[in-house]
Amino acid sequence: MKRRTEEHDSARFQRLLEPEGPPRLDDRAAAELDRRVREAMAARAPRPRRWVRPVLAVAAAAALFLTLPHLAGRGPERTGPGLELVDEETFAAALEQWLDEDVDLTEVLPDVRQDTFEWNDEQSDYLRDGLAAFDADQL
Amino acid sequence: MVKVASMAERGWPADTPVDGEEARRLFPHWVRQSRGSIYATLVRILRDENEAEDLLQETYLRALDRLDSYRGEGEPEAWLRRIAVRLALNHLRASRVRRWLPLPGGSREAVDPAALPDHAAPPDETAAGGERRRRLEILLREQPPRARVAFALRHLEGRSYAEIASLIGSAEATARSIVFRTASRLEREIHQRGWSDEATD
Repeated sequence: MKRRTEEHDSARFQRLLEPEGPPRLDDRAAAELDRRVREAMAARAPRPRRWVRPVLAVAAAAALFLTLPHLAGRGPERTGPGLELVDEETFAAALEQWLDEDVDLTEVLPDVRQDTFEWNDEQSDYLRDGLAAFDADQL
Repeated sequence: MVKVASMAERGWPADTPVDGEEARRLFPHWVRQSRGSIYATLVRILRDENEAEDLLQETYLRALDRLDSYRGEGEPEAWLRRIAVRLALNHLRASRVRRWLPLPGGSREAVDPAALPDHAAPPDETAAGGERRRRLEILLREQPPRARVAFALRHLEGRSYAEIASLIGSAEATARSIVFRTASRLEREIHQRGWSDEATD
């Protein structure tokens, strides 16, 4: 009898998900990779990380969203201990440092879900509900 | 099951001690030897070729930064794949947080498969194949990052559970369980839609 974990048909998943065959790195992408590696080896300079930029932009926007209601004087009143609100620059710097150090985000993000807000507008209610339902184990 | 050729099988001896200078000299060779395989792993995990290209570059640049700490333990490709999978996991986790956070004026990226149009009678087999693939891709994207990674490594790459466990940082039994649950979800979708085993396009 097969093991329970061996019952699935890998070949069928491959046919359905990769009908054209395994992913292949094209010549353009390979040349670009070689160029980036050559440059990095020659310069040993800090390299730009293209995908981090959007993450930082979103993180900054998120931090701004958390902070703006306070700045505008429309709440929320903090009702208990929880998330330290920081400016977006600090938050973005912290995120960049975590990524640099390969910190497991599940270890740092759960702090967020402990917070309690009493914001008035609909979007803030949504955020509060999202925080309450946030499950770091799903990350 | 995909056969994964090891570096040793390709004439690259494993466990060859290297110092930092030697590793730096060999690094361009390592890149050429492993880039295709690492890229395939990233595409299979991320389901996005552009993101995979970005993380492929990031993998080698990150490895270059850490070259002095590499001592030739294990095959270079395994070391590079570990970096790539770690980056992919963090990328998926960051993306999940990004989707989850309700940004002011922004749009949420989460997709509800149930809300997608159900093409009961696709005009031709190519369209049917595309639809099948699209629905499975969406289902995969909705899985937790570790599940996506473990499924891809097992069913699309044919890697052992021990290797998967090492790459995702879990016990081997946990890796088996994650793969089984994820594959079961996809199997249910395939079964419910009556997709044939022979569907290839």
